[in-house]
Amino acid sequence: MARKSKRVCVDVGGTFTDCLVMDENGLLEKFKASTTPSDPTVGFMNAMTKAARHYRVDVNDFLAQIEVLVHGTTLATNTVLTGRGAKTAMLTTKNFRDILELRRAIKPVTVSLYNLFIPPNQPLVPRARRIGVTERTLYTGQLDTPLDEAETAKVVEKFKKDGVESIAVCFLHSYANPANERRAAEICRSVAPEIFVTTSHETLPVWREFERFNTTVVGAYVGPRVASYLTNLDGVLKRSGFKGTFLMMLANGLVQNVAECIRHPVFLLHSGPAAAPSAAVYLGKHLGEDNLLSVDMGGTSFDICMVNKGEIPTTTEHWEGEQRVAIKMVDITSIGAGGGSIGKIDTLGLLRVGPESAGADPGPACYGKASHATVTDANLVLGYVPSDYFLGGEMSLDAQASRKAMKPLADTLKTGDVEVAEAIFRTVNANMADKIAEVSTKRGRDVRDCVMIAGGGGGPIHAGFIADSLGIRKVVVPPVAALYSAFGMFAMDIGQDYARSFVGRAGSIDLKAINRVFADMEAEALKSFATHGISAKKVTLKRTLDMRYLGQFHEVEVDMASGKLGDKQIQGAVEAFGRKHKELFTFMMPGRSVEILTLRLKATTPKTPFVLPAAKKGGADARKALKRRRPCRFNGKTVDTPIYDGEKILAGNRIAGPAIIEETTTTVVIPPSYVCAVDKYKNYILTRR
Amino acid sequence: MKNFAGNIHPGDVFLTNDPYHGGHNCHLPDWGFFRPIFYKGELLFFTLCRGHQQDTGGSFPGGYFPNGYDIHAEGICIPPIKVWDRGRERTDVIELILNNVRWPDGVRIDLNAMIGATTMCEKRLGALLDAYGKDTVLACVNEMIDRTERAVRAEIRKIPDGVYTGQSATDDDGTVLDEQVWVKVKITVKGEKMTLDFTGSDGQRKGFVNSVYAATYGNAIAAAILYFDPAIADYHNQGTMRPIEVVAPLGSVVNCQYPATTGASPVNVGIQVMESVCEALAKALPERAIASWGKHRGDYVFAVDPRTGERYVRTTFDYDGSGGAVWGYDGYQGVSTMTAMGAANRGNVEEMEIRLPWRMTRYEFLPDFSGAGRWRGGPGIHWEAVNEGSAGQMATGSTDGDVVQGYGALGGHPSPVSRTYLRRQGEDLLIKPHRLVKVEERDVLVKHSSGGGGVGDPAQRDPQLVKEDVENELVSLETARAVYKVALDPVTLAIDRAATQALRAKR
Amino acid sequence: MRKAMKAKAKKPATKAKRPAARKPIDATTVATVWHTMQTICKEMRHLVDRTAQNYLIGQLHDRAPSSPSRIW
Repeated sequence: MARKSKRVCVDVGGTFTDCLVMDENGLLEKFKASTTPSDPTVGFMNAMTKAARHYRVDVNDFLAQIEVLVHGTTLATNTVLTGRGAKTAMLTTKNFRDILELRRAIKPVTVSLYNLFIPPNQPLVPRARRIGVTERTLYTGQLDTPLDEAETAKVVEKFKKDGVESIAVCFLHSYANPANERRAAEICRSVAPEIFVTTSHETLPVWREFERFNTTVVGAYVGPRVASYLTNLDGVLKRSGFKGTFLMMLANGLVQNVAECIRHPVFLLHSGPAAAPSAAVYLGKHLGEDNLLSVDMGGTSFDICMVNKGEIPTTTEHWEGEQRVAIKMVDITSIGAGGGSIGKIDTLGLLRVGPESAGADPGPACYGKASHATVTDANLVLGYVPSDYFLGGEMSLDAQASRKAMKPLADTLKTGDVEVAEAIFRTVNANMADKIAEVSTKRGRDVRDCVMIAGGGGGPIHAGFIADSLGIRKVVVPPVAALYSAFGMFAMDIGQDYARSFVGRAGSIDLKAINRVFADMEAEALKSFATHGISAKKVTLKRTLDMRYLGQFHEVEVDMASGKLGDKQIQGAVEAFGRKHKELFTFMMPGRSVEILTLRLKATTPKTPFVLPAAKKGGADARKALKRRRPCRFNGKTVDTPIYDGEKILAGNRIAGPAIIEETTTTVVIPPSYVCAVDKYKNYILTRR
Repeated sequence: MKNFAGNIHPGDVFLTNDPYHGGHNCHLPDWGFFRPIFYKGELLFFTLCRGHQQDTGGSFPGGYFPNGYDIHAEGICIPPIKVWDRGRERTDVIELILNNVRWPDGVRIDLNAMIGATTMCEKRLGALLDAYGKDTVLACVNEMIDRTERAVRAEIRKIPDGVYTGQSATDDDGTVLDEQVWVKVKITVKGEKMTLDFTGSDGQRKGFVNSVYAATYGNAIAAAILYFDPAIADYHNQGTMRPIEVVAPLGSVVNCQYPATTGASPVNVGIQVMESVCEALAKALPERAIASWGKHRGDYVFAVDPRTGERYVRTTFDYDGSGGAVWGYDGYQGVSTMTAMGAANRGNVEEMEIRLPWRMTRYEFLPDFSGAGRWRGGPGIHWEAVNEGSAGQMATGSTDGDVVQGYGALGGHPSPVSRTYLRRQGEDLLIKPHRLVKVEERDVLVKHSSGGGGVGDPAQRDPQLVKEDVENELVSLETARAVYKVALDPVTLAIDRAATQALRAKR
Repeated sequence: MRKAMKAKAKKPATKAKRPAARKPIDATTVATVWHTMQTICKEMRHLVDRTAQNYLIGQLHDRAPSSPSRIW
């Protein structure tokens, strides 16, 4: 019987299933298999089989060796974005059935005001399946009208007859008193036990009905697929010998067991990408840096997360495509800039790159399937990406096709193909840099104080150039850059977020009530941990408050003391609020009334820590790793550039730009203005000269 | 700004809200903060942050008083003045202003918010200038304006040369009641130039619907832009305006002169400016036809919240209907008033009930209450709430559309007329636009706000879409048959193809 | 009530100051500078939305620079 000693992270993306295995000595191995969209379990098990083969054991034995398995999946995200969720219905308060469709009159945020030629909003639940029932709760929590149970049962019967697979129960002010929602859910379950049921007070017990209802409906929409996938996968793993702990990676940057995930399916959005900042924080700890800018550039998008003092920021303002999701999520800002982003000439004769992407299929022109001029094509023409060593040589790229794809653009701009490639490269870098500046301004930070950590397939190619334009002095490319998110999953804590609406002015707060609500949330969190055998001693509880100046419409989240709260602690939070307001928005208003709106709790328990092993040491001279030279374009000039073999690079090596390091899964481009030092974990550290 | 020649410095902030006296503002509640942006000692840019204040003084809270004697009765008139001088707030000036508005504490927050935005802009533009240098940045700005101008000229060339007319009216001016106020436009397209001539519009009015030239200009050009290729929608700037001329006779309702009142003009007359231009251009470019949006239904309620004993004003766009149809698409749901073009969002019921002493009893689409068409208007809305606070006043100040319907295009139906009622002890009292009325405790305010107009003949609408509208209870079976000429089985809602064909052939 | 064209937050200070013979500027630089200016406008309205207390600005976005989906 094998010892349970391995930790495994599996990130199922749209194209590849990434698998990262850490053995008992902390050594990492990377495995990739193709994702199998019709049943992702197949791709998952293929990756396991590949890993087992590497360790020369049978797949069942390999699974038996796993202590912790963390899984990220794009299933929930893709279900929303492709519109392939469950046939969902909504049971709501009578006379308010259109909240979801009105959606506060928010038009798609990416469309200009001056473009009226867009289709109307398509809610996930059409009006015919949104039915109101007699019931009403007031904002005070007072039950104005109890649920009409007979009417509710009749509506559920109708849903059942219509073949509904999932019901979202969404009543006004249910965050203040969930009694009617609870009763309605019971009726749903007894009348139609086969239908998946979710309620708004369980999903997000916080005021503002559009945001709460839509979040709940998204959960209901993805719920049945998520539940059947996870239940099936869990079964397959157990039958194949897996006996370890199986955890899912959530949107809020924590990991959680399968049963909890099925109860709160909406938290599986961004499962995967949300792990990237954890990777940055983990690496930052090794480097002694805690102001970090995590960037992750894949095939279609560029994800940004700004980490201040080691703390991963969260947001409640997320939109998943056209769907508002108001749960607390890791605050990752994304733009459509990736290797597959397409360059085209717009109506004003200017080059635009993205957000349209050729994706992985058909992919960039150099894949040989289509003729879009993409960022990857530009990188190939500029000499940054090798045509013969893509994915370690598994796939060859057609540079001729890339040049041909540049031709129409070159003709319009009256220039050459190499110049077009440079223009695409500069433009996509500028788009990414602008987005970073926007994120840092919103956080009230100076981006030049940050260390950039670059992951994803494209990150290590572009990061140096973006950093240069923003004045960022240090860029770190980890050896696991291509499996950045999967690596982040190793570093995450187990836990859950809780929130309750609690409206009051800071000066006249009901101390008894606020203490009671925090105590209730803490008890709920500890109970959840206890059912998984984790004692209260091991659980960290972190409280925060959402606050605003009286009358404002948006809140700022502020840390709150633990233990029994008195006037002193409330006053402390008010002062912290003022400081944070100034940091974010350039001003504060001491003396002005402050409101508390929401109480929040984050309950976590750390996983056993791990250490990365040191890499083989060498001197500063990297000549032994020099593989070849090839012409590359830097700043409008062709430069004969040294290319290094990443497998032969040793800790302690120093390489001055311009230079390129080729690894099997990633290519690092060192711009002329940077010098690269290799640290003892084989991180590539680019420092501005 | 001429008055400040030689007296503009880094760290200054200017404020104005005046439609006259060099302010060129559309009405007094919109306060604009301008900050000069210097780079290496040279003034290169101005940045502006402008927003509608909760109150601007004057006869009635919120700035929508229909019976002001002149502009001074509508609120404090602030010509361009300095509120910050070389990095220091001119607190005495700000105190003077705040002393002339209601809820000065709240307005104070908003001033800080808007000035904060200009501070941030100054910092970010500085970084941009550092990165590229002054000459490059200015050259880029000019280049973008030139490129946009060229693209807009090309768009105008695509419009067949000719003269196109449009017109629209607001129900009345709020002072002279029940007399419509007309805006008329004659659009002349010749080559790559376009002239929007409002000669023939009514003269400036006693009531508060008068639009200054700058406001007419902005609304007219915004409406024209909607007919250009959506691919350039992201770019419009000064270059857009160069090939377009806007003519509005001095002293008319679309080019009013001091001391005419302007309170409601961004809505009543502002919307008419946009509607008339859109209606005219639909004749020139049918495949870009845009129907009228639901009219604005802005009522302001002013009373006391018994929970706090504090005065409040309710200013909401939540009553409004929806967008009009365009060629190819049904109207967008819930967007309010054409001049806001979808920028204005709605609040949440829960937020409203927590903030104000009103309890919502209904907030839902109203079936058969938008313009039918091959593409129909976005749905109308039924809004209803009970006053749980004190008795108070309600100004139906910027409400419109109880008499004049929003136009449909290319045979599409106009948007129906809207209604406002106060239900008092079971009796529905009809409340007209532009009135000031008393609201009693426990009164129920009911708003039936129409959706947008339709585009194209309803009998050409895809029967499948009509069926879906009936399933969704947005269109009744009767309307499906009578207006859309689609026969559906009353129980299964299946389309009766033969009967539909017969209905459609009969016409 | 916002007037549409007010959404333009910046304009060159003086037209007269334009250099007589303008240096041609490459399209990539134009696009990138423009992109940054659009981004700044977005940040300005974000800041106002976050901090305003009045319904018309905070919720209804009756203000310039314009709203979540705006001119840009």
